[in-house]
Amino acid sequence: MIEGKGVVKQFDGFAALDGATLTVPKGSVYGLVGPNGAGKSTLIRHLTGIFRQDAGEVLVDGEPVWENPALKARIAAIPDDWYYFLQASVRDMMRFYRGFYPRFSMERYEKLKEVFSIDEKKTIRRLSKGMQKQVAFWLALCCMPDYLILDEPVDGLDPVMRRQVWSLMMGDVSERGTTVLVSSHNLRELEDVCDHVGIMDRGKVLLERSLERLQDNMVKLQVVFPEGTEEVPPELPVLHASRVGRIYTLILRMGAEEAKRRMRQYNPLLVDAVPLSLEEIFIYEMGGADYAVKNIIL
Amino acid sequence: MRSKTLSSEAPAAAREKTPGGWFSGTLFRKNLSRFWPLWAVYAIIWAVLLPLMQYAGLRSVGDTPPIPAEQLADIIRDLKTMFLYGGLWMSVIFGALFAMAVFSYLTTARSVGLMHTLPIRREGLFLTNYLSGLFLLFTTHVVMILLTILVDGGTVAAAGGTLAAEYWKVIGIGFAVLTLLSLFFYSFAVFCAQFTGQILAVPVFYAILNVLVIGVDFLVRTFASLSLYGLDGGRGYSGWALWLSPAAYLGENLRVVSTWDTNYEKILRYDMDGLNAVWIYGAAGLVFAVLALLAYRRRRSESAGDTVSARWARPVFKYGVAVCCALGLGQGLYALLWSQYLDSATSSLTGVLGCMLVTGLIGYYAAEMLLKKSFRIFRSSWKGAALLAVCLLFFGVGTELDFFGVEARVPEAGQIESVTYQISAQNYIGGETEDPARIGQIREFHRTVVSKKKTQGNRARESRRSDSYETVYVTITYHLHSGSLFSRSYDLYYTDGELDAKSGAVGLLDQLCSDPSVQRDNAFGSLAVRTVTGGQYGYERPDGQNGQMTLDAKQAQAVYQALLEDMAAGRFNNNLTDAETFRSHEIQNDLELYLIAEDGDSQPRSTSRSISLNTNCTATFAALKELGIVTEERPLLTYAEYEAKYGDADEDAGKYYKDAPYAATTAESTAEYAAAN
Repeated sequence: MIEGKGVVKQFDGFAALDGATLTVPKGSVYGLVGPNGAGKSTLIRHLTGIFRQDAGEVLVDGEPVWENPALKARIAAIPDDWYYFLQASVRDMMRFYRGFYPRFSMERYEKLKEVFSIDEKKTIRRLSKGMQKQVAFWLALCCMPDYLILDEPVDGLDPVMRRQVWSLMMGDVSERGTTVLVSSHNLRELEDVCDHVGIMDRGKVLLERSLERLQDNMVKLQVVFPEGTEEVPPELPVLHASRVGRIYTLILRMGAEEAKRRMRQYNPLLVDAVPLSLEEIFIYEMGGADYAVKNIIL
Repeated sequence: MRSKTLSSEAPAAAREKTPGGWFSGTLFRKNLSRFWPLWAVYAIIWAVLLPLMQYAGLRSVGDTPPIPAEQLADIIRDLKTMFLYGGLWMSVIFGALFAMAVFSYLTTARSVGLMHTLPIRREGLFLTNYLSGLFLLFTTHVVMILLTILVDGGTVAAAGGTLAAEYWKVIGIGFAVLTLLSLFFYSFAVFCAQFTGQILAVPVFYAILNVLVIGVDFLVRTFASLSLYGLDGGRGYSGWALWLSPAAYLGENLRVVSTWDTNYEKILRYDMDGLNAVWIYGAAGLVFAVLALLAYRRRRSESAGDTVSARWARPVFKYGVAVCCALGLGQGLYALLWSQYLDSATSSLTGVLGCMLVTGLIGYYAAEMLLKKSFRIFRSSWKGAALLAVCLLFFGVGTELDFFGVEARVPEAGQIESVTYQISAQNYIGGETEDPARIGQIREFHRTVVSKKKTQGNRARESRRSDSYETVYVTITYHLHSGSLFSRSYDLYYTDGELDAKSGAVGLLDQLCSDPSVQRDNAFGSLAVRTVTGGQYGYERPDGQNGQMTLDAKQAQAVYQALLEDMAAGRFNNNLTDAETFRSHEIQNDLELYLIAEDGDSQPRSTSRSISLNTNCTATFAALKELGIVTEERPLLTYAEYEAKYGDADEDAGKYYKDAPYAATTAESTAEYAAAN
């Protein structure tokens, strides 16, 4: 289990992390989402032992990550901008990783060579950005990690390779119980793979729960009120409302059944509950944190 | 979608190694493979400096067949030179380059991210990187010395004996010198690298810190010379300041010293001098390595890209840059604008402080821009600028008012090992003394001068407008038992009447110039003359051409004895006087004596001394006449007589102070001179 407890990190007086608390259950695929500058990458750098927190705790399996080589040997990380030595080929970097990660699997390396189809003798800097990302995955997966921490991992990968990479990771999750923490802005993609989600903003984790519970806690209703009702009843806890013709689309912070039950007292002509996508949940949750999409006419 | 790779199993946990020790072989090998080009450049330069130059020397064809002993002596000399000079400057340059290479990953967020994600402790990363740089340096030394031995081996075997033994000794010492010098400079550069996140800032910090202390010491002294009476910025240095400036200290003290035979015809041996400092700096290298490790442990990964990575060092950097700019550029600007007012008596405190404030604030804001990586820093940093301005004003005014008693300080007699003095008026008298009585005389003069600061200041300003005063320039340097130097310089403005006041500053100085031992030291310094081997007497022939007469050993010895007699009578003082009197008493003829003499601990050697005579030197005149050296054809002439006879004799003689009437010589002595001619 990955835990961050009240993590604080300041850069020249600016609190990049302001008491961030998150819990990533063992064996889960946890999506960390948030607007730009929310502190996701900073938090990830704490989880991988690069940064040392000013306050709070960063634990993996109950042990602090900072200066804990035995623990870090079980964590593989792919940052948004993966570093390789200037003259290094894939094979050179493989040797480097193999020297540090005791569980590095050459057998897996050889098998993944067929998956990624990259000339391992070629200098990495001569590869395209997407191929460099593939190399990062190739090596990270060969480390046989218990924890895989990824920051914007599939940026630059083509759709086929994205699916391939997610497939490899999901395989590790199901077969080896690998815990995956992934930060991304591609919420549609996260929705397909994550079972837990944490939403960050301004250095804090605003909420975190399983995707199922997250979707259960918010509903989108399409409602047609009877003649004479021109406004949405003000006593309803509506996060967002829009109207097309006579059809109202309402976002409410409650379960679908509860929303339908409360709506019935207004005798609607039509009530239909539609599940929200992760992207919609993110948008409406962040709307509560003053991060709504603003209608600006230029 | 399931992948076929999912069936891959991790190696059994039982076979897993525990990572994170104090050393990573993988990283070590990676460093060697990454930085071999730098190693190659270092090795090639050393290959040229050692084995290839040795080989070229041995292969050079001469007129006669080579003699192994002579060849080996040359080899030993060249090795000593290369080990010291080459070793020093190669270590200074490549120490920094290797440190920059192996710790370059600290300067970008990407690379520091990779390295600090790896399952290894910070100590392990540091030690592995540190040792890989050291390994590249040391292996080069081992390989190059082995190649040198290979080249020299035949000659060493052929020469044999004590020379061969010395060769092996030099090889051993040379290896130790290279190892320790590179250890120090590499460790120092590694230490510097821990305090910045910019790769190019490493050599800048390293170069500045190598000479920072002596540089600041110099700038403070220069500033003090502008505002404190008696301080001369250009003279001397603090011993501790040089020690704290490694490259400067070693550059100054590490040298090959040659010892000549008594006749200065052949060099007997070459010695490597200053090796004690190498051992000390080598030990300091280890200390810097430990300090660098401690700094690395505390270093924040997010400081990659920062000019100064340690938070506590940022204000040090900011105010340090500001103060250095104020002292260096400020004084430079003042000198540019008011170059005629560069001494404590005439300098303008307002002008100096104004320049220092302007340049100090420029340095302050430049440092702030570097730290914040932004040009928009003025609004947020004005408080620091105000603090700097107040501190500079306080420092400037405090120095001007001598809050710390620097002007009035005269070292205690017990602190003084020796004193060097220089008295320049119409003539020059200088020397060094360890004699407590003479040191006492000098200290008394020094105290008297200090007490007359205000009067002297007024006279200095007056003399800018009129020629009311005679001037004598005096420099006193106390060599203290602590090893440091304490130096003061004074321009004394005086009237002729003050020479008679024996307790006045100029009176005390005149007494010092009349002291027989001072006159002897001025002529022969610390030389212990064994014998006088000859000499030369220069005169004007009746046709106006220069004539030279060679003195044989017997004549020269007789002249030398007569000179000693005149010195014992204190007749060589023709210094604190007016120009006219000086020219009418100072002899323009050249008199040079060749001596065999000892200087300090050295062996007797041949040397020569030129003697300036004046009309008081009656014993010498008598001897010169008696020996037939001075005749009507070869007369002794004063500058005044020469001018009367031939026109302007020497524009330099007595040109400085022409107007003050002072009759230092007696009518009696002038009459003796006339009789001698």
